[in-house]
Amino acid sequence: MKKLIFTTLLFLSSFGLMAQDGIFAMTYNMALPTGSMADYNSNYSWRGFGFEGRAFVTDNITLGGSFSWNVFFKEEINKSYVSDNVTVTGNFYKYINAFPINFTAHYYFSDYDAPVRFHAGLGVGTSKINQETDFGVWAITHDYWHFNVSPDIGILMPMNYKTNLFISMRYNYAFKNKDMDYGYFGFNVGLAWY
Amino acid sequence: MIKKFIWGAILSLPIIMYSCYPKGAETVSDTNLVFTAYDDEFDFATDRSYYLYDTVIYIDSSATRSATIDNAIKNSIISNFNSLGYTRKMSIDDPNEVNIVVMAALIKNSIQGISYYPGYGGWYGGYWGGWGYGGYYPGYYPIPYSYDIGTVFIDAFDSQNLDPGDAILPPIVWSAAMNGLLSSSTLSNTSRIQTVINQAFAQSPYL
Repeated sequence: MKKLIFTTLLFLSSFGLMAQDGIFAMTYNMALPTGSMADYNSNYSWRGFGFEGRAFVTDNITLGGSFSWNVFFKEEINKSYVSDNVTVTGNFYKYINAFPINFTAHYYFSDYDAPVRFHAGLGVGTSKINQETDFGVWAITHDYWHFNVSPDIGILMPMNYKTNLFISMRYNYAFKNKDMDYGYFGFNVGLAWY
Repeated sequence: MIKKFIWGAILSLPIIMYSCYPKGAETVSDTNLVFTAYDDEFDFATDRSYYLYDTVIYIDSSATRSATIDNAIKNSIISNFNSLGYTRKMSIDDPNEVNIVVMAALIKNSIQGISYYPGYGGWYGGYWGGWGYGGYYPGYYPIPYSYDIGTVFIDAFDSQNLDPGDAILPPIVWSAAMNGLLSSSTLSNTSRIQTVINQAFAQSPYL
């Protein structure tokens, strides 16, 4: 937890350096699990938010960072799990908290004043995954850092000279650490400011 | 203006997320857990007869017995076996008179601990004249907690291999363990015992 707080504060403190030559975005994030993550919990996540800061290094390329948090939750009421001749029945509460923290690079396919500014990019960094399954008075937890990559595409649509509607789709993939990898599609909607 | 809005939103979003965080178990009944296992080579079907040991065993011998709880356990076992077409023998002289011998046991575990509510510590002043150091008060406020967990066990033994003179128990052919947080209400706990025992039989169709 201390590493997460320190990394987040370090990331957020870089925003003051961007001034007029970059983008700051804040989004409401939804997500859809895939692969082994969906095998554990396939429910769509409606709980999430994200921040991004990007600085233009050329007219069409930005470098920056992103932080987001998604909560995946599934409850299974009176669920039975059977393995050979053993059966367990109870209420199972499955949580995944995913915190991808990335350095990002994006390319913009149109200019600043375009009505729709399409861009694509890649984030590379780390993701903290807190997974917990609660059943009865017991819990099984997975609490590890994973290497993370997040390719994404998005659009910026100006609302005024400074504010844009920001929509993006991102695939977050946290590589396997210990016993599981985590992949999910993120659908993000928010505002971005120059 | 926009910067103030941005920072305000950044600081408020975690609070909003926390308030929207999904809740897990909210009542003691949500913590009910039923575990069963069986010997898949044992023949339950041919001879559907059983003997139920009359006394519920309290694993913690110092625990206070409750006739209400004991009767709830025994009556639930009997009604479930009856509904499966089993014949109960009220007494046996020879273990071979029945197919299985059933025993029930229970245990209550009390869990105590201390959690800490984070706060701010600090130093209080030194001695007069600036000599020496003052004391330190901790930044965490201790909050004691305790709760009880109850577990009911039902074991069915292969009666054909039961020797009353033998100190070693015969093989267990069916075992059920039912576990959950206890409430302070005997009525609630009694009702939940009946529910979990019914579930143990419901998930054991081979009986």
